[in-house]
Amino acid sequence: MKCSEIEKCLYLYTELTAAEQEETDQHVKTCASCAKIKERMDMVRYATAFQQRHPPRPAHEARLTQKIMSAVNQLQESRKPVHDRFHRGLFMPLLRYSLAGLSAILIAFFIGEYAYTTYRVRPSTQHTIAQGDHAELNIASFHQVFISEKRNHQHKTASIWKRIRDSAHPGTEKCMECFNGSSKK
Amino acid sequence: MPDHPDLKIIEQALAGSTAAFRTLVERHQPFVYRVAYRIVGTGDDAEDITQEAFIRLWKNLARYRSEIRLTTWLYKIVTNLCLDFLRSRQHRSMKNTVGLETHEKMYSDVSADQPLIDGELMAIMNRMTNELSPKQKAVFVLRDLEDVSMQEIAEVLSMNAGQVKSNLYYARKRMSEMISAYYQTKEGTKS
Repeated sequence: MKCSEIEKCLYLYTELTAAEQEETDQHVKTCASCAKIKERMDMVRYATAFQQRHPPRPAHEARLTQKIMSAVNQLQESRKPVHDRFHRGLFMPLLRYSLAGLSAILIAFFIGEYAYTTYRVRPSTQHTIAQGDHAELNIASFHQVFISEKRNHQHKTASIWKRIRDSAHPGTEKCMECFNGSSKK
Repeated sequence: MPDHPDLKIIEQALAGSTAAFRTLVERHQPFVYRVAYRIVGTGDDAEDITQEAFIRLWKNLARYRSEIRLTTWLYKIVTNLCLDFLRSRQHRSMKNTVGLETHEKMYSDVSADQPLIDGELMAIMNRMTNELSPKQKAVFVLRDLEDVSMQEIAEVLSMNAGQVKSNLYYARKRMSEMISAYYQTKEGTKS
């Protein structure tokens, strides 16, 4: 073989067959320039063997493993269906108690609002309460009650005046009947 | 020959067991980090690549075929990540400013009475591998430092046998030339 071929064989020595290695060795014994190449390759082999014996290691192996697993767990979590994640989140104590508190506040607000509206709209007359009239939220009914109450009051006033006027004169019974009849209504 | 212990663990991990996957990480993390470190040359980048390699493994675990060794698949993932990293513009811009860590830090387990020449040689070797092209470096690291077979390297780097041999030849030639030049310079300064 020529020196150029031997040079190639020297750099790829580990990939040669036993016969090729033998041939290369024989050539190197008789060729100074090829022996120099072999010497340089021996230095590389020496250095790589040392590197193999002393492999680099991460500064904190356990921390690196933990870092990898955290990323994997996040990935695993993101793969879960949305309802699954929500269901799991709902049972977290903080979220659970917050939702309960919010619900209580909302219930109290609606009860208060209902009571306040009822108090404001309900007519203040004893008439509607006595008759069990639930016209609080019905404005039309409320007006009806209010008008009849007003008429009744006018009628009462007129009857009283008539009684006073008639006290000096007979015929007041008729008016009292009228008065009693209207108050019963 | 498939890695049978890995197969069982992979099946468990595929069923959703992160504990099983943790076993895989603990088993293979040292060599993944080692390859990443030897190719990219810095601890922080090697850690990032190691993490990314295992995330990719987790994402693609369902595509694992039992006829391929898990280590081969991991070599493929980590070397591809390293090659992408080396090719990136960011790395090229930083190449001149950020070198390899000192050999004292890299080889912390080397005893103090170790001959100085060994540590010195290691540091210079690391700096020299940085001078190789990304593919040459990957082939050199896998063949000469990780003892991976030529056939497996071809599979890992998606090359044919001739391309692997060619890259290995140029990598070794370049390394031997640089070592020779280094020693010549050293001898020159002594005398």
